[in-house]
Amino acid sequence: MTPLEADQVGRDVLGVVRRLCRRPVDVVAHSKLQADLGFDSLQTLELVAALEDEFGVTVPLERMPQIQTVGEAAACVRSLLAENARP
Amino acid sequence: MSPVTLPEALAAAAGGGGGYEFLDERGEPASSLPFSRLLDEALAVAGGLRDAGLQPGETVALIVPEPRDFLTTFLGASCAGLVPAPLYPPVRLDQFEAYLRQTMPAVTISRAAAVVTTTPLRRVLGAFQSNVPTVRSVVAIEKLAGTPLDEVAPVGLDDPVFLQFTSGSTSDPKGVVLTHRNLAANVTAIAGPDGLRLEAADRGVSWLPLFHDMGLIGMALTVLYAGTWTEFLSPLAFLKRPAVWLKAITRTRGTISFAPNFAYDLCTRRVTPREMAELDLSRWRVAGCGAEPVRAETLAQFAKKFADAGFRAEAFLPCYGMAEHTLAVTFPPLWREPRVDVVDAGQLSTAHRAVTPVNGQSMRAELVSCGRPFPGHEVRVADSKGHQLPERHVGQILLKGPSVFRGYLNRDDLTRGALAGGWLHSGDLGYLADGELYICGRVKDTIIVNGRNYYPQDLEQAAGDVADVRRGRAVAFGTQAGGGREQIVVVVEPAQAPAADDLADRVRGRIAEATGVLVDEVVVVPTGSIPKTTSGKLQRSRVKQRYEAGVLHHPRDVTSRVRLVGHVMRTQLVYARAHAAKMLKGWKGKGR
Repeated sequence: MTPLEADQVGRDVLGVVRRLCRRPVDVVAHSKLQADLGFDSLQTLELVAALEDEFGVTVPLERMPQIQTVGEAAACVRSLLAENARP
Repeated sequence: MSPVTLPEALAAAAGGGGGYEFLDERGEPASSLPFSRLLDEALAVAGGLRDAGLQPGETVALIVPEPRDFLTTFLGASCAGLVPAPLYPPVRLDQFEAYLRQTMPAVTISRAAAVVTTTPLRRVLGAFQSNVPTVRSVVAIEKLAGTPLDEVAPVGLDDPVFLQFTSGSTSDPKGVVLTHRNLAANVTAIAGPDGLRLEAADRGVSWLPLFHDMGLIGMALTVLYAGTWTEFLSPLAFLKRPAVWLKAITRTRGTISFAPNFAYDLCTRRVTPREMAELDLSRWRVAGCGAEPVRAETLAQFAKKFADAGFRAEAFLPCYGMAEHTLAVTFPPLWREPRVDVVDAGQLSTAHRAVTPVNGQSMRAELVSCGRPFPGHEVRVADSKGHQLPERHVGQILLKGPSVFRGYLNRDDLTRGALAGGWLHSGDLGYLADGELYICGRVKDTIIVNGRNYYPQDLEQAAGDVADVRRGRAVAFGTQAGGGREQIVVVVEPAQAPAADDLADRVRGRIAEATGVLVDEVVVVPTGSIPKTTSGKLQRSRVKQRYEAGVLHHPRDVTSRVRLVGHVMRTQLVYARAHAAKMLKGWKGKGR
């Protein structure tokens, strides 16, 4: 998995997750949002909305089940940005 | 106006101007279904169900996630003279075994002749056919083909209209049987002169799931009988971005919208100043609040925050209802600020009386009035022997009238208890003051220690005052599991893990300070250990069961947290997946 610090998107995703996370734990790429970081289902949706605001993308409903870890959130944002960049 | 059956109401609505509109994730219109077209689609579904071998009077279990499909199938079944039993769709397609296990008892007790579902779900729901003797087929709605019925099936007002499986135990489900007469009585009361006074110019806006009574009866069927419009928004879209709900009200000039207490809290907390700038809530004349206890503080904070967007506190309609009473029981007068009764908390628990606090020292409780019963309906407060109590005395709320259900399906034992003496025993505690109803808690949740009654809500609210306790995640109950006198136990989830060492002590201290109750044990459990019911009420009995079984701390015991939220999300995710699968199939098809 791409280390989160490797690109700006990863670093920004990390920033958003840290801002919303209420547990004093290290946030890393394989951190599970619910089990490790204590997000409940509503907070997970709040995170998705925050990522949309941060990156100016819309996460389609069908992609949401794929976002279980911080790394997967970053991967989702990267692919949405790539899709938007395409003509 | 004499009551009409649901199919008759649909046929009548088809000649008028109302309908359903479905909004996309951003709250923009995606598709529109005027009642005239809805009738055509329902008659086509009805013809398909008949051709699939289903006979009038038989029950069909409905497992249909998408709102538009759900409504046409539900009404199609009704037009065919069938009795639909809506069930929550599965959690995830890859966990269908657990879903089948959980849903099997409801399908079994409903004695359904068929399970009606979507093509993607049909593949995993086939097991119903081999495991439930009454189920002759599992039917996919996309595959329904047949001659549309010419007209709706004749049904009697006292025939069952649909079955509602209320929240609670999945292993021992209770199917609430409602008749056409019940439904007509309740929705016409909701829409009528002592209710919402619905007019053609009204617009409903709803993000509530249709598998929930407030969403189905309150927002979908009421407007069908009244012939007005409702906008449906995905529950998931609301939960992701609460402002979408308020934007939809703004854009569609919505006048009527209902939601549980938590939804108003969520908006107060999550709507940003930038989102606020786009809102105009000045046309919102009924902001209904029900399905879980209504908190004065929630309403006050919401009204304060959204005043700049044109929201008026007079729009709030805190109400009381239950599935066994079809839906609504009491409404306050329209366009009145919520009436808040400030009473002495000690007197409420010790003397079961709602009295004005005598001085500044006594603990206060703030209760929100849920209003009065509808014409032709009666509400009474009674003691444990069934004797009527005077005003401001707390007792069980009993109900009578045309909205009271016929009984629990195939459970005469439960029905006899619920309808003893000709009154529906709500199981809720409350009192009347100036003819208006105030809800204090549930009968079976009441904690009795040394002859004193305690309402768990009070202890939970006090526990919630401690900053390190996770919002809404405190459960109080009484237990005699250890033998001897009843022990008061409070279970909390920390706002962040690991919990502070002194959290239990601070919770105990705050509860003593606020209510005068000394709690015997405070248990701090991992995040996600405390489940809720579909209507958002804390499932005290389940937490208590786990506590008594000694499994409360077990980390694998984590099931659902907010069941309404959870179900909504899962349901929508399944829908999204099914949609994705459909799109993918279309794409493959094109490629060939």
